[in-house]
Amino acid sequence: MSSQGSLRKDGRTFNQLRGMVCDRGLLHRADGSAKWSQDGTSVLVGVYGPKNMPPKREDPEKAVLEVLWKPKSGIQGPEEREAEIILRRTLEAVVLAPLFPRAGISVVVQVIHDDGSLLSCAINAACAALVDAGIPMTGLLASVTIALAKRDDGAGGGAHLQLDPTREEQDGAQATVCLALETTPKAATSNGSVEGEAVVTSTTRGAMAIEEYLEALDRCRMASRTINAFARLSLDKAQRRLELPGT
Amino acid sequence: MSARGAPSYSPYSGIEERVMQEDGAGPASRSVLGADSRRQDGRLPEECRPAFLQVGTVSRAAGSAYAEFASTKVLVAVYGPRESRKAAAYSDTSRLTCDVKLAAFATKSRGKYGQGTAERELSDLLHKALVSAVRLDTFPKASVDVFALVLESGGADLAVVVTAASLALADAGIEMLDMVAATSLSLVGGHLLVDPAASEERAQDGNVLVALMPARNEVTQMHLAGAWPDTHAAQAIELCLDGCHKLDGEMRACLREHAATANGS
Amino acid sequence: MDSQLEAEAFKRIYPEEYFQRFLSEGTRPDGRPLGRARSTTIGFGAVSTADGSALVKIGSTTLLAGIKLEVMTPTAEAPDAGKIAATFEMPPLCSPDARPERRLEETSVVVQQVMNAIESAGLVNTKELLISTGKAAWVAYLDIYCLDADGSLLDAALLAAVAAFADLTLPPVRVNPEGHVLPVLSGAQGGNLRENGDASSEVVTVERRKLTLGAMPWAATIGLYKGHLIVDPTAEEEALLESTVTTILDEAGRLISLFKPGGITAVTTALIQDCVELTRHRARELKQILEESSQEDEDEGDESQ
Repeated sequence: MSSQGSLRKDGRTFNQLRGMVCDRGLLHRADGSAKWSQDGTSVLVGVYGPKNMPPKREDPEKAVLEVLWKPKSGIQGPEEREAEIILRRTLEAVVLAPLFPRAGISVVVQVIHDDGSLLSCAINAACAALVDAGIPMTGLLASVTIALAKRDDGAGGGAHLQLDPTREEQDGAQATVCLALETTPKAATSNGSVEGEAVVTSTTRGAMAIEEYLEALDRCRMASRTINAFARLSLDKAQRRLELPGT
Repeated sequence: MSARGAPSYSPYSGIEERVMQEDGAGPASRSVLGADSRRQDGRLPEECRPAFLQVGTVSRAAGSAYAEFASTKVLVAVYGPRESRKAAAYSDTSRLTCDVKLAAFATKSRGKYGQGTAERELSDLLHKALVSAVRLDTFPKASVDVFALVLESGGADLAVVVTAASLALADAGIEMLDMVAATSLSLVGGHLLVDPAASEERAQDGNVLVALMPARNEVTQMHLAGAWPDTHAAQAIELCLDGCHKLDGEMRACLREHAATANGS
Repeated sequence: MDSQLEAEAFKRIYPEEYFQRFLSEGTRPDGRPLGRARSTTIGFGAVSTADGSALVKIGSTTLLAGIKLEVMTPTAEAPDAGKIAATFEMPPLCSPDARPERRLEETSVVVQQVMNAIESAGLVNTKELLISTGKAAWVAYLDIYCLDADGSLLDAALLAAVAAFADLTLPPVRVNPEGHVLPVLSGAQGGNLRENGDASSEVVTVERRKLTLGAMPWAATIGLYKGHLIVDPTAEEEALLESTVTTILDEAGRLISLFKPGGITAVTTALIQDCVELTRHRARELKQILEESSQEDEDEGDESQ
């Protein structure tokens, strides 16, 4: 291992995201799709819609969003069902559903590989797929997971917050925080003022101090800008490829 | 309802003595009734458990009732009349659906996976006990849903479920010909034990349940199982009818009390 | 009577406006100030067929939690620990939205979050559920039933679970050389006296034993509606809310969970801090209610003896 105590097993610094890859339009039958990878963690999302809904399930005022979460293997357990619901409510925050009354939008999530930060990866993938499908949204989502390493790991000071943890780091952590942030600031505060990226979704595991949570939130804010910049860049590239076929 | 050879309606204090003489005091019967001819929980053979009844216990239901007969605890909620989910063709009458569930911790061994059959049977029997009392013709096309949850199974579950369900229907303002009160009885070693506890039910040779519309004196359901000597069966039914009438008084008192507090507030 | 009918009709037709008029007056349809939770009661030992149980009411929201113990063989990875398995049920009687043919989506979220809170807070040391290393351990089946769903189910479900664990007693058992777990019977129950005297069997516990509980988690759900923070929302309010934040804190003030499952409003850091502050207050309240109820429960127990 590295002689410096400040590096993680895979050579990243504590504040470094894993390499991201985003491919769009992989599924021909879907209206939009994206495969989002953060090194070992990879999720493929297909978006279908806006489309007809059976009369029983339609909403006369807005589009109904449905999410189907398919685990890597086997059938859905309670964990996957929970992830499905959290993802749906997260996407509802940005999708302009009132534009399509009585319609339905299906988001199908296929987990390809889970090496930690799975929910974050799925949120990022779903957001990219919705963009690919041309679904109007109020803003872009960026999701980041942070692990609070146990203090006896030898990591001193504030270095025990590990951004975008691998499965191993996640399982060994004292706590993890998964946040989804929205870039368009339309956040509600008690005094009406707005600040940077607001929290759409928060789930945590393990115990931590409030200050640690707030610090994790700040780090996530910073990282979400990187993710957003990457998402926009990859979209630009995809569009350029579309305009100049064969180059 | 008078069965062959049964004595006319009378106090039943004498029956147990005679039964004991006839069948002798075998080891089984001795453990059921003590020397003072009282049961394990101190009741006389024809004595019902103290009943606690309460209506209006589920805030968002049209009507609801909680019944506690010693350790038997049942909660029933009624929803409707509402749109029938099973979109069947137009019908002049409404549907009465009954669904009884047992809580996973209601029985001695956690039953979750073995409870399905019992739940289906209870639901079916509850439907049969109630359906002839509810005036389904007053709600064409709609459905009235009765949901019961047995929180603790302490004997005579079905009788308590039926009683609580009819209270909940009354609380919901669903039109009925009359309320339905139900009482069950176990035949244990030749003894007739009204409103049996779980331990008595486990030792029983036979069981009878009578659901009655007391004001009309009409039986909506009677269910008799096991091997019954002729005279015992008739007496058992009379004992159950007697129990139903007593229960009816308590059910009416409960509704009156609820109405009084609702008006008072 | 007429004006009451009118108000009822207004509420049905314009639920949002109805709600907003209350909020603009700094109050809520049930008369509470925005920051106040409904009155909360805990009843211990509600079900005698369970090894531990509790009935919790927060306003009309009613939950019944029961724990039943079963013997299992410990897993190879953790030969010295038992385990907890939890379910959360919303039977169709609890709400007009619950129908027998479909599961409400709340159920999977609530059970996951309750287990997450119990594990994250370290409420139960699963090693205490051990009977004999590598041979036998207790598995505690925690079943939580919603009897009346009137909002803030996660708060009530967690409180019911915590109270049921506080009520749980482990029965006295012994392990025979074959590794079978047998109950230790008191002399009065006779029957197995001969077996009981078997010298080769290892008596593990002689008395009924309570668990030593770790930090207790306390939850408060806070609804967000047009910049207002609404503590402990009812079902009626939940239908109108933009999003909810459930904060779970333990006695030491550690954050056990901050759960915000999406929703149409996003929150800022300041708002999160407000939620934590409101939860701190509610946590103190809940702790006191639990302590008082368990005190009353003990007093009653003494009297009946």
